Amino acid sequence: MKEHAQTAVGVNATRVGARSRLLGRVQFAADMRMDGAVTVKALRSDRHHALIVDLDTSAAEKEPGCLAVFTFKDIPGRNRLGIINKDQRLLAEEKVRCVGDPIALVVGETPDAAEAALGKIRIRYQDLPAVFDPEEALRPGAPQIHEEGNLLIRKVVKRGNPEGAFQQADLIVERVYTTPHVEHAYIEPDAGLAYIDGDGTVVVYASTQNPHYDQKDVASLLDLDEDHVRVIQTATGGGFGSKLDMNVQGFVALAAYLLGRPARMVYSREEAFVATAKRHPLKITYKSGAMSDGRLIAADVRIVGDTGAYASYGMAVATRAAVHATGPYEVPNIFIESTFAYTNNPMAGAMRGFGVPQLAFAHESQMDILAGELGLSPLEIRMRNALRIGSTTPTGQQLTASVGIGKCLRAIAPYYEESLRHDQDACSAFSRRGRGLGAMMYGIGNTGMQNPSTAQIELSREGRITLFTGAADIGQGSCTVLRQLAAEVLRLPPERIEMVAADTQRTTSAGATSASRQTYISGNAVLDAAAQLADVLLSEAALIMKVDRNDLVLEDGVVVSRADPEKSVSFERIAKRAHRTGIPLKWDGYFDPETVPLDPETGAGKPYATYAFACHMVEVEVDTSSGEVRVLHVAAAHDVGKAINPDSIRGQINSGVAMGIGFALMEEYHPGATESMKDYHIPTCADVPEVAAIIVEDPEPSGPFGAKGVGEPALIPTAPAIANAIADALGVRTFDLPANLERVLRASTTAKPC
Amino acid sequence: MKSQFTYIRSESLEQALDFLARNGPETSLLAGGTDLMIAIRNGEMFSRYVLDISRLPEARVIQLSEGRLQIGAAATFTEIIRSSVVQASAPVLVSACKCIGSTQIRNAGTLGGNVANASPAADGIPPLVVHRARALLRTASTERLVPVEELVTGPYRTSIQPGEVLIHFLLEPVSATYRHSFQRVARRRALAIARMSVAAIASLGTDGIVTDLRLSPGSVTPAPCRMTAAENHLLGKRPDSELIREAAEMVSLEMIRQSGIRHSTEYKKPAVEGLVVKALTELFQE
Repeated sequence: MKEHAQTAVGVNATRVGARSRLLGRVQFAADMRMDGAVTVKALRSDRHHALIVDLDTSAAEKEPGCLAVFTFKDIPGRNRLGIINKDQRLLAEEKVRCVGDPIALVVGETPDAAEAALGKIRIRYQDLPAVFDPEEALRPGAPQIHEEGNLLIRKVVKRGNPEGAFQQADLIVERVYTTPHVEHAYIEPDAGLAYIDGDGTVVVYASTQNPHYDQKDVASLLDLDEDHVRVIQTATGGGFGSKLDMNVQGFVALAAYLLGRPARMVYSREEAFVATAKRHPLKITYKSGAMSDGRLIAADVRIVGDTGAYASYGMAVATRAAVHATGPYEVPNIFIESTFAYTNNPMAGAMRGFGVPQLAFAHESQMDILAGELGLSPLEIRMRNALRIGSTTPTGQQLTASVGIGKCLRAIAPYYEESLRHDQDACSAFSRRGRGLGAMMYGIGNTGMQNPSTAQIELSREGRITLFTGAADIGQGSCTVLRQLAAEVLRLPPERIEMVAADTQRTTSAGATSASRQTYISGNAVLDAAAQLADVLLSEAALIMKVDRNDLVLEDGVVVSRADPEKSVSFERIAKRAHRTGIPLKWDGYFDPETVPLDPETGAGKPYATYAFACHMVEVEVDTSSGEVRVLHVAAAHDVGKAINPDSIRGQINSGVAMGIGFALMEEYHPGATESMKDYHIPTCADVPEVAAIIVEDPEPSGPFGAKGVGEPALIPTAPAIANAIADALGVRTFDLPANLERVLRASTTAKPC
Repeated sequence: MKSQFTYIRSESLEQALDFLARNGPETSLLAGGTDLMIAIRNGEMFSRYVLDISRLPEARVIQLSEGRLQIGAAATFTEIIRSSVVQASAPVLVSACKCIGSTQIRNAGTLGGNVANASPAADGIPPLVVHRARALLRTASTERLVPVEELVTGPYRTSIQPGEVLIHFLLEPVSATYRHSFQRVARRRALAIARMSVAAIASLGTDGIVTDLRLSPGSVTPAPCRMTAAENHLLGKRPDSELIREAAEMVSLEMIRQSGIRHSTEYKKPAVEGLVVKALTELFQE
C-alpha cells in the first residue's frame, strides 16, 4: 500500500455551521433570549475631554421599569480593562477622555424603560483642553490624557548604516503619507448576554474574538476567580480586530452579577460606531534610497500614530508597523521609528493588518515613484528587490524557507502584461485608465512574543471524535480548517469530527483570533493533539489485532492492516478497550511559534516564525470630471504556504479586496461627525469587480501541512495597488487616503494630457 | 428614543382628507417610509399621528391622461422604472429612479415621498423639473396644481400645507425624438446619496439646431430650478464642444450665484461642469 493522498486538507470542506446559517437557525448574541432578562444601556460622554463634576442618577432610578443605575462605584473589582495596557475604565471615574466614553449603566426591565431612564441622568462636566493630533499631543504643555503622559510607545528598528547608504544612493525619494480613522463596520454590531449559573458562575455569551481574554478582564472587574467566569463566543458576524477589545462583555457581566438576573446588551450601529475601536490613522514620512539599477539600499521611515484615548492594541500596531515598514523587499540599511501617542480621539485598536495596510500604502507608493524616476517597470523594480531565501529582514532575521513573494510577482506578471495591452482605450474625454501593483509581507502571529495555542482531541467510548479549540471562529473559517487538519491526521471525513470551540469552560486558550495566526498556530496545536491520538489508536490496534504496528494505518474510522486490508479494528472497539485498561483518550496539543523578542534598542530579533506574501494588480478607470474611480479588474496572488481549504482562501481574498477598495477610495471616519452607515461608505457589490484569486503555495516547513495564514494579507495589497493605478492613470499621485472624489478630482486637474 | 405616535391607514382618499381636515397639523404622511422610518427611529418625528397613504388608489396611478403623464405620489421607484408609459414619455425619470438607493429602497420608496422630503440630493426632482411637472395637492375642500419648483422651496422645505395630500404629478410627456441624459456622482456605485446630479432633455431640428433644451441639476442650488442661461446659450444653435463647455460654466456660475462660495465649491464647481458637459455631450452626440 502506498502513502495516503491527502483527502481532508487541500479540499473545499463545507463550512462548520454553514447549514444552520443558511437556514437562519444560528443564534447570534442579539438573538439570544432568556426568561427575566433585563436590558443594559450605557450613558456615554458627548465631551472629548472633561471632568465629571456631578452625576445625578436619582431621577433615572425613579423612572418606571428602571432597575438600577450603576457607576464605577458599583464595580466590585478593578475598574481597568485593556489587552496590553490596562488604561480603559469600564465606567468613567473622575473624567472622560473621548466622546463615547461610558459613564453609567442603566438597567431596565425593557429596552424602552432603559432608554427612558438613560435620558433622565443628569451630568455636569467641566471641559478640559483637548488634543486631536498625536504630534501636538507629544509637545510640552499638551493636555495630559493619562497620568503617565501622552506617549504610548516609541519603537525603533535599525540596521546597517542608513546615513552612509543615503550618501551613496543614486536616487532618494522622500514623501509623506497619511491614512484616516477607519471603522471596522462588521455586519453584526456588538452584543452579549450574561447570567448567573446554578453554581454561581457568571456566564457571558458574547460576539468576541478572544473569549479567554474576556474571561480574565471580567473576573478582574468582578473580583472573582477566573473559574467563576465563563465566556462563550456566540456565532459572530465579523470582527476585523474590534471584537478583540471588551465591548459589551463587562457591562452585561456587571449587571447580571449585581442584580442576579440575566442581562442583555445590543449595540445599535451608531453605538458600535462611537464606542468601539478604529484603525489607527498614521502619518508616515518615508525616505528611500536606491541605486540606478533599482536596488534599494536604504530606508528611513518615521511613523506617527494616533491611538486615541486608550491604547487597546496600539503598542502591537506600532511595533508591527515598524517591523513591516520595508515591505517584501530586502533593504540593508534602515532606520525606522514608530511613535504612537494618546489623543482625545476615539480609541484606535486592532484592525485587519495591524498597521501594515497603512505602511504598504507608503512603501508601495515609494516603489512606483522610484521605478518611474529610474525608468523601470513597477514589476521589474519589485522583482529586483523581492525577498528570497537567505534574505535578511529589517530585524536581522534571515529567511530560510517559504518566501513566496517572487512566486506571487510571477503569478501576477501575465495579468500585468495583459493589462498593458488595454492601453488603446486608456484615455477618453472624461476618463483615464491605469494599472497598479501592490505587494506585501505579513508576519504570522504576535510580534516577538510567546503566543501559544492549545487544543484537545477526545475519542469517546462510542468511537466518536471531538475537537476542542479555544479559537473564536468569527466568520473566517478557523473551525472548518482546524477540523480538516484533525481529519487529515485521523483519516476521517471532517464532518465526522464534532467541534467544541471558544468556550472558556470547555476549551483551553488558543490565543486571540488575530494576527492571521489561527491556521498556523492553532492548526499546529490541533495536529499535535491529533498525532498523539493517532499514535494511541495504532498502538492499541496492534495489541488487539496482534500485528506489527508498522503494518497499520488509519482509514475512515478504523485501523487497517496494509498487508491485509481485510483485517481492521474500529475506533469504537479501540475506545472501549482503552477505557477498560485506563489509557487516556483525550490528548492535549500545544504549539508556540519560534520567535525571538525584539531588542529594545535596535529592534533586532525574530518577530515571527513565518511570513505570508502577496501581490495584487488592479486596473482602474478614473473619471477626470468627477473624481470617481472604478476598479475594473483585480488579480490577487497570495502565498499561503498550503491551502487547507482553497474556497475559504478565495473567500478571504475576495473579502480582503473589497475591504481594500473601501480603504483606498471611500472609507473615512471623522471623529465627532461620522455617525453610522448613512455617512460612512463601505463598498457594495457594485463597487467590487470580479477578483482573480490566485493561490500560491510555497510550503512553510513549520506550518500544518505547510500552511501559513491569509486573513489579514488578503486586504493589505489592494489599496496600494489602487493608489498606484490612479497615479498611473493621471500621472499625479495622491498621498492621502482615501482617494475620495475631492482628492482625485483635484489630482485630475493637473493630470498628464492624453 | 423612538418617536411615539398613532398609526392610521385610511381606506379611501376621502377618509384620509377627512382625517387631515381635523388633525392635519399633528399628522405626518407615510408613503414608502424610507425617510420617515429613519426619523422615527432617531426620535426626530414629532407628529401625534402617522397617516399611511401608500395604498390609496388615487396616489398609485401611472397613466397618460389628457396629454399629461400622471404619476401617483405613492408610486414606487420600481413601479416607475417598470412602467412602459414612463419609459416612453419620460425616460429621464426612469434613468434617475434607477440610481436611487438599492432594490429594497426602490421597492418601497415613492416619487411623492422623494419630493415631499425635499432633500437637495433627491434624484426624482430634476427629472420632474425638466418635464415641467406640476403636483396636485388636495385637502378635503381645496385642490391646487403647483409646479415642482414652487413646491420645493428649499432644503427639506416645501409649500405643502398641513392637511394637504400630494396626490400625483402631471408631467409633460416628450416624444420619441427627444433625447435625454441623467448624470450623477456619488461616493460609491449603489446605496449612495448623490453628491450632485443633472437631468437634461433636448430636441434637435433636422438641421441639428437645438429646438428645445431643459436642464436641471440636483444638490447644486438651494431649491430646484432650470438652468435657463445655459439652456438659452445652446437654443437655436448647433452644439459643439466649445458651446457645451461655455454652457457648463454658466451652470457653475449660477450655482455660485445662488449658493455662494463654500468649502465644497473647490470640488463642486469643476464637478458640476463635468456633469453638465457629460449630459450635453450625451444629448447631442450623433
